[in-house]
Amino acid sequence: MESEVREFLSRKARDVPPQLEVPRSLGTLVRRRIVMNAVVAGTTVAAAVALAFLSLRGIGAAPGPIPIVPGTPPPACAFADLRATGSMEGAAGSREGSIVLTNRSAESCTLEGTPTIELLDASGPITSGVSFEPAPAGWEVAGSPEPTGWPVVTLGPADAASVRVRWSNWCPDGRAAPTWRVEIPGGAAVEVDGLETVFPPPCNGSAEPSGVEIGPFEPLPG
Amino acid sequence: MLTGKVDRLERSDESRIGELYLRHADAAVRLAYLLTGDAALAEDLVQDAFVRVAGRLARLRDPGAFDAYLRRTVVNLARSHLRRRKVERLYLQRARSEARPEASALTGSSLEDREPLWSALTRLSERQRSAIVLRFYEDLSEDQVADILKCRPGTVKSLVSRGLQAMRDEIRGEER
Repeated sequence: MESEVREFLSRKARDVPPQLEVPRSLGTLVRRRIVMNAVVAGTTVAAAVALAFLSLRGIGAAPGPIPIVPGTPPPACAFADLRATGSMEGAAGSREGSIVLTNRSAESCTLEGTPTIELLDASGPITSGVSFEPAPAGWEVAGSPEPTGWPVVTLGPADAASVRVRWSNWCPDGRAAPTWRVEIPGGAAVEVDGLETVFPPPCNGSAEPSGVEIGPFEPLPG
Repeated sequence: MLTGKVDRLERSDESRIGELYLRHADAAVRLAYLLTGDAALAEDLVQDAFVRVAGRLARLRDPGAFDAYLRRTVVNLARSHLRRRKVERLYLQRARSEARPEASALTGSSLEDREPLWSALTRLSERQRSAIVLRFYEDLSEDQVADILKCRPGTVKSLVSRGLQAMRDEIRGEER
């Protein structure tokens, strides 16, 4: 069967005509993307410079080292740069924990906003019976100072960001834990290692959906 | 100042992207076609992939990494597209409250396409299909496929095994 599939795919791929010229629209789209990246980078630089200036003047939320602004601001992290791991613990009938996204690339990149979470079972994405709600960041819950540069989280090589997660009411009791996938803004989805082995929260009522609360990206504490 | 810098970036990156397109687009479109079953969609996805990669060209130190990076981007764009279409189709099915024949479960492949293997491949889940195409068409190892699909190598083995079994069952069902 394997060799048959291999041969078939190789033959089937030749159904597609060769790409003999560069599409005209590609140039326009590339120009637009480069300009957009430059605008975002410029905005990030301006925000970081403003924050540094305000910190120097004694104004602003977080005292501490003045952020070093590199010559070329990092781009948004791509899914290929990131590895996602998660862990949760029981907490009064629900499960609380975090998803940690580690920058595996050799370059710095940034994360901002709140990711989209997807739960999957053996049939694929679970599209009903789950309610996704925003949650505050961990530093807000802990009453800690706002991290420098937040809501933009800059990850150097091997740096990590975290996302607070709270999960409740998984019905019926005994239902297997789902696979978790995190979709970063503007990018594709990354499967989260570790959450499929979490003991699911108890079912409090099948009439209500399972609740998943998701916080925004924030620097990994410690 | 920023405008000048952008202009210089635009010209050099644009011509680089053009060269890279002519060198790599064929392989990328064939991969996208096998993943989605739709040649026109495959071309759109690959164009989108090149636009995304264009934004990171300056930071790609190793030219050899471009191929792998493009492949990952194409696979993930195809999978995102298939997931969205599946959600849309489920929504429409519920809205219309009628059973639809699953002639082409995840792709835009033609209903007239009677190749049993093609039909069986199109009925797989997007994960199984991606794993099978990456293993048997791109000839990637389980570790390499796991890296692209962001899962464990054991999961890739399972996806491929179950996918092939599902294809066998589908073909046997058509032969009866």
